[in-house]
Amino acid sequence: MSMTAIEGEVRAYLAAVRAHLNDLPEDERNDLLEDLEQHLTEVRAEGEGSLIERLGPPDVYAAELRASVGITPSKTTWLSRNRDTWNRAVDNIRDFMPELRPGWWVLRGALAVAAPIAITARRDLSDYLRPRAETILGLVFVGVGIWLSVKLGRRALQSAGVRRLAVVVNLAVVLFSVVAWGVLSEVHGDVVNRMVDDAAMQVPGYLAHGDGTPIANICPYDKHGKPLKNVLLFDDQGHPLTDLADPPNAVIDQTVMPPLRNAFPLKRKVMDANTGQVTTMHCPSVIVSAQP
Amino acid sequence: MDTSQLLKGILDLAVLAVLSKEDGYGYDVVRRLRTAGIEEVGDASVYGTLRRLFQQGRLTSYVVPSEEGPHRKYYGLNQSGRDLLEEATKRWTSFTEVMDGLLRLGEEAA
Repeated sequence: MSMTAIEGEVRAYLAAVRAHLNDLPEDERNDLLEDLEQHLTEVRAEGEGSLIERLGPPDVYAAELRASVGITPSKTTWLSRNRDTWNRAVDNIRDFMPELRPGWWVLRGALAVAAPIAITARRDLSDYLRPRAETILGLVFVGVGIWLSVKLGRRALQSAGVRRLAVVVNLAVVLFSVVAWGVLSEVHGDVVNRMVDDAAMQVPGYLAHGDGTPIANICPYDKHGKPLKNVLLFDDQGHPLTDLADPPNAVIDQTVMPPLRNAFPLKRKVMDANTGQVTTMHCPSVIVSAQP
Repeated sequence: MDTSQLLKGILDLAVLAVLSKEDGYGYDVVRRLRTAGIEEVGDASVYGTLRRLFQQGRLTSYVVPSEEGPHRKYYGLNQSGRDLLEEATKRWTSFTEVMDGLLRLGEEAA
């Protein structure tokens, strides 16, 4: 067997043993395996048969080595056990990053235009998607931004000076974007708050006094204080007033229901909470005298 | 109980004993142990034991250039290693005396 073939076999075996000890801290592992290459070469050179035939599989060799130096695998963490896998994953990500560069250039160009607009005009780009003159203008600006950004990116790959400029631009764009994000979430937050406030204003959803006391009926009188019946009430838009509050203990009585739900006073039936007796709601017999 | 189980406890002593006769490099120690009759000793166990004893400061080491193949790293006992050997030998001797006594007792009873 040639020297190089032996070297290859030794290196492969050593690498396999090393891989099975990958949970050890780098220093400790190097220290332990310091002269193993020399040792294995010695073993291989002297006798017949491959290393695996004579020493057993590398994982068994590694386990024996571990036992003889008194290292218990139980002390290891998940991360340290998977150190190689982890390193490989990090390497893969690092290799993959350059592939994403053009994507970042485009995004950077768009953000460089969108972020300042968001901050100054307090609007996001979706506002500009409505068909109007600003839309065209906005898209033109974004297009120019992307074009410049891609140009900057390509130059930066070739020149260290441009690369430094690109780093500054990147930082600025990220900073502006973060600020824009804050501004926009505040703007959208305002919209949501306004909607919530509006919803709150609509409660209770029935006629009520200014202090919130519900109005369950309306009792009209003429100027002499005589009670009127079947007075149809409308608002200034001509909508009938029908949204009165239900009195406590109201009994649903079909006979007072439509067609004339705005004929006042309503003949509403209520049940006495104590006696269970059902009576018609009464208007006060009277009170009012005409104002002078 | 097979010999490899027994060996685990006394490999330190065996390696120290081999090196007290003469300094040696890893594979050389393996060979001398086997020649002495400890044939089941694992290569990795000897290598690991040498590294551990060295790290514990029981051994000195030095590299000797070799004409064929890589340079060899020789190990030898320092004072600390010799102290350990002496201590371990005492423990081993008293232990084997106890064991001998036990085993002879077993023979007599049988």
